[in-house]
Amino acid sequence: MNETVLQMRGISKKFPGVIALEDVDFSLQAGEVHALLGINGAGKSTLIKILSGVYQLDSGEIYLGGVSVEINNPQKAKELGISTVYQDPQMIPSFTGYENIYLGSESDSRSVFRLVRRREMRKKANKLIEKYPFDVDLNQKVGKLSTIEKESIAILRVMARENTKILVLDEPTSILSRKEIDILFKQIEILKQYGIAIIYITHRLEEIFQVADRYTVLRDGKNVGTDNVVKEIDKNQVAEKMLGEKLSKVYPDKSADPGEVLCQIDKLGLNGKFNNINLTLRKGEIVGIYGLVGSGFDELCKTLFGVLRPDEGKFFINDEEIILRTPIDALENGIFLVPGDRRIEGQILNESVSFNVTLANLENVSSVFGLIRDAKENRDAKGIIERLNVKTNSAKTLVSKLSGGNQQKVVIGKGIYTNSDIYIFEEPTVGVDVGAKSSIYHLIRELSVDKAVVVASSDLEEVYGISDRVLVMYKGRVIIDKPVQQTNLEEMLISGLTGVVNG
Amino acid sequence: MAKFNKIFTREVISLVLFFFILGIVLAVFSILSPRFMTVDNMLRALKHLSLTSLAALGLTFVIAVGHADMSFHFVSCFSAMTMSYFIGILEWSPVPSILMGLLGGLVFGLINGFAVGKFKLPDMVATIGIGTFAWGLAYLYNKGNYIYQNFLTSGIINFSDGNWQGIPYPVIYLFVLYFFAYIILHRTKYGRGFYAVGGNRIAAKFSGIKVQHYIIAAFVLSNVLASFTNMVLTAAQGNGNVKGGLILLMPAYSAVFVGVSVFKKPTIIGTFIGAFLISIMQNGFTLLSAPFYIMDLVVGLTLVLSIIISRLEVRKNLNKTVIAIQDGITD
Repeated sequence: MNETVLQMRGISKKFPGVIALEDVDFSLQAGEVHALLGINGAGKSTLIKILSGVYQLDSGEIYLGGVSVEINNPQKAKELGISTVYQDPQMIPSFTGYENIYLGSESDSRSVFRLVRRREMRKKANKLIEKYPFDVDLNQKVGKLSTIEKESIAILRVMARENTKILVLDEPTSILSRKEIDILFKQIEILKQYGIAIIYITHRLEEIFQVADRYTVLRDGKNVGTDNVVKEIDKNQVAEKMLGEKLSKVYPDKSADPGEVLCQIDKLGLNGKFNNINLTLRKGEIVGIYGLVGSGFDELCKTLFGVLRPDEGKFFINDEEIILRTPIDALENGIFLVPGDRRIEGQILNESVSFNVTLANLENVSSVFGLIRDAKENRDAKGIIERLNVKTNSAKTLVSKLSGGNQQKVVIGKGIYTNSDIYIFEEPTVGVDVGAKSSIYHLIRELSVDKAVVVASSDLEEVYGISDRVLVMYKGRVIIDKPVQQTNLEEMLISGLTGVVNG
Repeated sequence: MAKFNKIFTREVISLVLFFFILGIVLAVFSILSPRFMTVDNMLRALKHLSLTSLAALGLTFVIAVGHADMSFHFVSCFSAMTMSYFIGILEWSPVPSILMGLLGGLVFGLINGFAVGKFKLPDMVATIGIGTFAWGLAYLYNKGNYIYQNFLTSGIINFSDGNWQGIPYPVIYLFVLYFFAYIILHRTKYGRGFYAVGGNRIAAKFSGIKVQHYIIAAFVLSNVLASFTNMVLTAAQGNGNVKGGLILLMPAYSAVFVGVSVFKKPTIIGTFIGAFLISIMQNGFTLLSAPFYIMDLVVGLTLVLSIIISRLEVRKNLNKTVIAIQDGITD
């Protein structure tokens, strides 16, 4: 089992102005899961892209099974048995699982009419699933499947190429719920039995203890350590390696005394999504809402921001009832939502940082006839960039050029620029690396000093770590609502997963 | 080295490339036709430019909000026939007749805008349908026949042939309208709205942008400006003709996308230089008395080439998926 399938030696790669990788060594053994760790920009994806033929290395050597190889395009990587499953695998929703697996190889070039040979495809698919017993129905249309089932099909699609020896999983768990993550881990075990070597990329430190055999940490394009995963490893030690300095406290201090009540939500309900939600938001207090994906917190956040209309319940700000029909109403009433899906709901990718920052409060940078005051806009955007420590060349840089964490900061910056009274953060740190995560938490705390803040997330530790008061949602109901000191991670986890509250 | 990179950004390179191509086009025509580089001809080219570029100006807003308009040329026929009807049959004076024509453009702009913005109909199909309907209506005014009565006597000719201090009116329309469009799209908060809607309409909605209003406004601008253009054209020709506006479609698209291929996104200046390139070519081919289909051939080719260039790196696939998802989510 201890045969080395891949060896990368002295890999270097330069981009204009940046050294992405510098003299990196990396090795992989058959049947092992090797976690590749590093904050955004550390060089993980560059390394993987070199391995999968997307980028060409500047110097260094790659050996597969002891033989020196040159991987100059993605096709070559596939021929050599190197396959990658990306975080959000693209599939055709109206095709079934097996049709997606054999997409592109449906017809037999020998047959005259190049007909799609369904029967044969299904036979092959059955054989495949016998070999890798994943719990997924291949006859179902992919559009109807859950995320983990889609992920399973993506993996099967790769394994259908019989020469696959090396599998790269690029942040496979970023869009999975906890239950689904466990399913994925079982599937990884199955793959290991067949001697498949797996490179596992993740942000989530705790996962490597569950799934990886070895780990390698990249920092600033250098390999800063490869080690076996043993039970006694100190998480902080690994995190320190990733960050390069002593990990400052990830979560800020709790608030001592919440201030006056700003907003009261009374028996809010939306059919089929959530019901009977009561919420009191105070200045200086962070209310955390924990729930699984689908527990209703997403819809709740969108309702509080006027994107969705509630079926019942009332909403008071400063004891005055308000009705939110659109996000415009919400913004006028001093409410801002940092949405859960940054890419789709949060940012205009092809526009500049300053464009995005001022978008929700254009009034503030315009004069008569709506003319934009360029100087003020530039100044204000720079102020936000400085305050949030956004890493960008200038305020005119396109958001698409920033890393995930900095993109999220731009969305938060847009919120800060509206100078709202109530901030709702939904999944504030999805796709954000450890370093940026912590600064976002401190930012949220800073913001909460004279504002009311809600943080809704499926990240248990995050909700527990940041909040003064926690709510746990399960199937549209709030089943726990207490000060954070009176609960613990275990209680929150169990109630969030099962809906059962102890005592 | 870093400074070097900063100066030669992609925009600058593509601008230089554009002017290089423009230079070649100018040079070729100058060599082929001695009349090409004369003041007289340049003024004529400028007048012609105003026609291509005004229809393209409206279209720029539609492309900016991420949609397509396949109706403005049809609608312009309806508006021009409306104007002709009021002048020729009802014997109104020019200004109110022009206003009636513009009203036609406004109405169909609203219909298109609501169909696409509010009712989420697929833009291509919906605008082709609505536009064809408008074109059908245009036939009703005079059973599809020309309207030429009163054109010479009512003073409508002046709408196109008049001048101020020697500058032809169409050239004035061109610069005035481009100036205002530039201010709106690039210098005001409203312009931000158009680009935000085109860039990511869900994020725009979450930022308090009135998405539907911007889509409707874009279609109104497109239809009204195309109508205006065709009315000037009709005045110049001295008669109302149901097919007069059909020639506006391709040059407008070509102009906008030449602009997109230079500046990565639809812009007023981009559309202007695009229209400039197109009308110089049209003018040159006319001087060479090339058959009309050569023009179609060149304009079509320009459109395809500029789309290829802009597709290469602009608005990558990502935006497509975002739009696809958006169509499912926004209300």
